[in-house]
Amino acid sequence: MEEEENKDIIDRISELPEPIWQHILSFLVIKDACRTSILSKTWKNACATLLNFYDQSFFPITRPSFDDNQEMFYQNHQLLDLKPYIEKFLSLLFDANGKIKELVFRIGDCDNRNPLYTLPEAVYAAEWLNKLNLGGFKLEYSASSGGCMNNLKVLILHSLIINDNWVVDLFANLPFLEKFNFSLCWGFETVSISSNRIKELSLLSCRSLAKVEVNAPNLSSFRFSGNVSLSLSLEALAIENMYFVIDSKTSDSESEWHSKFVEFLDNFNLPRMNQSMLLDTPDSLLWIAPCLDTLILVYNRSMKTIQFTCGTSSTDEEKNPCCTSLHYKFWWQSLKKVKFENFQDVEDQWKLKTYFMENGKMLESIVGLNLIE
Amino acid sequence: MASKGNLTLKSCNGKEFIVEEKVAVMSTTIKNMVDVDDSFAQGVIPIIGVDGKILAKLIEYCKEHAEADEDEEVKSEEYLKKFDEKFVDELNLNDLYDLLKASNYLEITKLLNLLCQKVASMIKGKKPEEIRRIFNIKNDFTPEEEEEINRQNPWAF
Repeated sequence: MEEEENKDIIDRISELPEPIWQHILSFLVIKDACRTSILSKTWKNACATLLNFYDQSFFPITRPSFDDNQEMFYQNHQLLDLKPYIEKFLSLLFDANGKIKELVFRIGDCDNRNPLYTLPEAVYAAEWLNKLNLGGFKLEYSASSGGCMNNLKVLILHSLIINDNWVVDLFANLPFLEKFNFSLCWGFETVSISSNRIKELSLLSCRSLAKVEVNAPNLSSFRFSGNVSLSLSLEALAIENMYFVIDSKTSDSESEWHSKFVEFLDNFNLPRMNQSMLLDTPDSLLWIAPCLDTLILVYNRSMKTIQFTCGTSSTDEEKNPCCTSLHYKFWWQSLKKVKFENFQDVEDQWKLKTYFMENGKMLESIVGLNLIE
Repeated sequence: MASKGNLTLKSCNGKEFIVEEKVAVMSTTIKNMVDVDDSFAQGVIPIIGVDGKILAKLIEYCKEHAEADEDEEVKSEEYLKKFDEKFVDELNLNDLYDLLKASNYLEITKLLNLLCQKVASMIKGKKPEEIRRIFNIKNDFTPEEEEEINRQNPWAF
């Protein structure tokens, strides 16, 4: 831009018609766009109408596309009262007449504050939704709210306040749920799931959570992070992926961490072989999940991996190729190959090797051991 | 009088441009006019509020894009991208505003997007003082008001 020519221009950008302005802001990420509210009063007013844009596909990072059947509403600040916008957004959702299959409805993080808005009950009537992603609301749901989201397969709840009744009703009203993520939610103590359909379950950093009961024969992925003092019962023999992060202090030593983890594994009420702590970990996990694929142990930044290869009974599969739920009750009936990675301590490796050799009835090979100092 | 397949566009300061119809109808507004009323295709189309300099720029842009739409081999996507970059880089602020308004009024969507993106890129990641300086925006907040906005949206600043 030539400075000289700009000298006698008096802020022409602020005089551009509103639609052009909105269009310009739509090419910015929310942070940059909202930052313009500090420029001048005119810009502040334009910025306040920004919230209008979320439901009109303006922001690149939140751009809803009716083609993709996806609608987004993501707002991370409190410029003004959102109620009219939430209502407008909902009316858009319902006007689309069932075309929108995925809904992302997040108004920021509630952290430790009380959320300002309660999720409008109307959302529960959107029975055509396949995926629902909610965040930043307070949820008040009761059976009397009506609505049964029969088509809902994926539910992601982030940073919400939920009460126990809500969670109970939730599972009663979502018969076809396959993937369920809870993260940073609070206000409830119990999660109890009994479902043949559920395949993925995540419970991450839900600080009020005290009791988890899962009976899900087809669950293949389970993720948990939080406190060790949780009461956990898991009936899920098909688990291939497990992810546990246990709250611990950074000052904890590796053995302290191990003992915490073993304490956590006690939740599962397993037959204990009275091994050393190191052996208890794979032992316990294999009892919980006989089809476990890979075991990754991370302490501080050192990552140790044990990879398992399970055999399947080929004759059974040939007879019934559609049957994918061929699960073994005990890991040693299926484990064929164990692969270690990043293990350095020779003694640890000897112990593990001996453990697998002694117990793995079908074991064919152990690789990756590094037994030379 | 334009020959068949050509249209005559007239700027607000009386300059006339004869352009091929395929170039002119890059503008949805002109396309609608021509579609609805045949007489426009015969006579002169006045382009209200757009002067000769800006109209020439608009035609330059539309010509490249209309030709590229017709024959991808002669003008590849890469060529167009380079053309677009050069086109916006050569504009001064005044022309940028005028083109924004004209492309909005004439509904030349591709150009409008290009120009809006250009302005957005001038705002992106910059401090408020820098943005004010670039666009000559006068800060009409009192220090107290400014403080209040900063306080309300700490994450943005």
